[in-house]
Amino acid sequence: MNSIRKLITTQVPLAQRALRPSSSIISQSRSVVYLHKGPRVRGLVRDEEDYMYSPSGKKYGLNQENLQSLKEFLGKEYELPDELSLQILTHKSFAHGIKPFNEKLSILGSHFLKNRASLYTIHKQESKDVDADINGLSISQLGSLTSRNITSSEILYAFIKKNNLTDVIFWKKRDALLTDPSKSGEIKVSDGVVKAIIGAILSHHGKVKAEKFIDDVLLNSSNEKSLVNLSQN
Amino acid sequence: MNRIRNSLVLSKPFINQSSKLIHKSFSTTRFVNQTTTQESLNTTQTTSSSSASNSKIITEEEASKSALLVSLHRRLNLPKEFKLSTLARCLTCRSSQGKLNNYGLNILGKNFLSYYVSENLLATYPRLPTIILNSAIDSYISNESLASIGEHSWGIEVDQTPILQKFLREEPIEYSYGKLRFLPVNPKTNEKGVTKITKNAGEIDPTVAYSLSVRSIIGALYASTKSETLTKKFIYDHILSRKLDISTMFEFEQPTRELSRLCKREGFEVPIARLLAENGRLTKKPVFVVGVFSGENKLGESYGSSLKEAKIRASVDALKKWYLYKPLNPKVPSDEDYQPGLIDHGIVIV
Repeated sequence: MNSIRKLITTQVPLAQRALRPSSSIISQSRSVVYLHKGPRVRGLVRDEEDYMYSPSGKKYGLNQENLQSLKEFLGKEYELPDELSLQILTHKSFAHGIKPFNEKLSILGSHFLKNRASLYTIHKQESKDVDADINGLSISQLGSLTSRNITSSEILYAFIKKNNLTDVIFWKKRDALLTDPSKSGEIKVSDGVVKAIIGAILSHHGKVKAEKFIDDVLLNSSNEKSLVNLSQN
Repeated sequence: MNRIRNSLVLSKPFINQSSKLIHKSFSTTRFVNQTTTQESLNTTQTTSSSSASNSKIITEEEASKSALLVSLHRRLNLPKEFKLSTLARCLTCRSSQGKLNNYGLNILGKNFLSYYVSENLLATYPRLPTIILNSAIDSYISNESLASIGEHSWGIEVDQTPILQKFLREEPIEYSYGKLRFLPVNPKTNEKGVTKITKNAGEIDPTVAYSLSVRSIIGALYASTKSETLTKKFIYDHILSRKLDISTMFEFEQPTRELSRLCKREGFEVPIARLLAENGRLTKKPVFVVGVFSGENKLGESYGSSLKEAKIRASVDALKKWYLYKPLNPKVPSDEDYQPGLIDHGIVIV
């Protein structure tokens, strides 16, 4: 049996079995687990070694190769724990969600990014209607195309590409043969990763540092890779 | 005399605009009630009064003459920097065609609301499943919730007086500044028993108009004071102070399987259901009490009229206890003394 690579045998200790009341409803789970490798067979549990790869061929795991790009991007100032960094780079679609994924970090990051982007718009963008301003803030600019573009999925995808983070994202393509990023889901996944980075910095370092990260890295007009500059191109 | 003259000067374009709108509505839509001119005037009054009143910038002096605006300002305990004219703008929707409307302020307020509410929920219940989290956020800041706050808690009134009536009463224009102004959906049709469900361009429901005004007041509070601390406090006082029972939002399709997957993912021992107590097994109404255990740790417990029901209920109890985990004294990232807490790995996919 070449296909059988791993055979894990777990036996319930006799003493423990004796203690269990006879009225237990669910019997102990199967004691022998066969992990299948090779082509998919319905009903067989697949070996993690076989499918834990990103679309670019990187193996999932807490190693330097996977986390290097994100660490370089964040630098010392916004450094995050390795487990959290790997969670940022993992999408819900990867490995049927059995590994920690970035969905909730992304939700928090998304709300925070929108909030900061709207503040950037009213504080930094030039007003087109001075009468509509309040306290010197460009309220009329909110909802404009320029304002909305800053946080659009396409711009966030371009940002991820510019910062060489696309190869280390762990996700599953809608269809392995699709190459168009909008159809394969790559844009949406990349959008989630940027927001998850913000959410993770916010959760780990607090609001002050997350604000600084957004102002210095994402909404800094002097940085050519920033969202502001990418949205203008 | 001056006031009457002003109202007469203002009323002339009102009537012209009303007649134009009536004419337009007759020619473009068949749903508008064509039977009485009075009804047509009623349906268009909000637009005409608003557009006329917004064609110029509302000064602070004019706004201060509106008793409704002053009382709303006091009721909400707004700071001095928050001008009455800004408050009047918060109550003017974009659909009422004025230049100074609440469109931008609504976006600003919405972004503040969604951030502070999601931050609070995630800090209080870090393991909440995404669907429940989104529903909980929605429960706090959906149009219906905000409309309820605007109407019942803050006491914002809708400007419903027909323009003709305003003219006959010689009502000063400042009266309408303190009321919510928008172009309402006209539900009337020519057919008896037929209700119109589609809207014309620019028409909005009162619920939407109310929510726009509530969000705008939050946005305007920040714009007036430039203080995030005050804005956060206002949101906590008026929005997050409302009680929300999240435990009732859960609905599990396969609780036993989900619990099993959860235990596997978290590296716990396989969950086992054990009968803890029973009463009247052979009677018409038996009761079984079942606990779900992972090793020696009890994850959940519940009762049922059959063993299967009790097991399912116990699994649901265990899952709820997991998802509704609440840290002691939770701190949100925007707090000054924030310490990083639990970061959830995500929901269990069955």
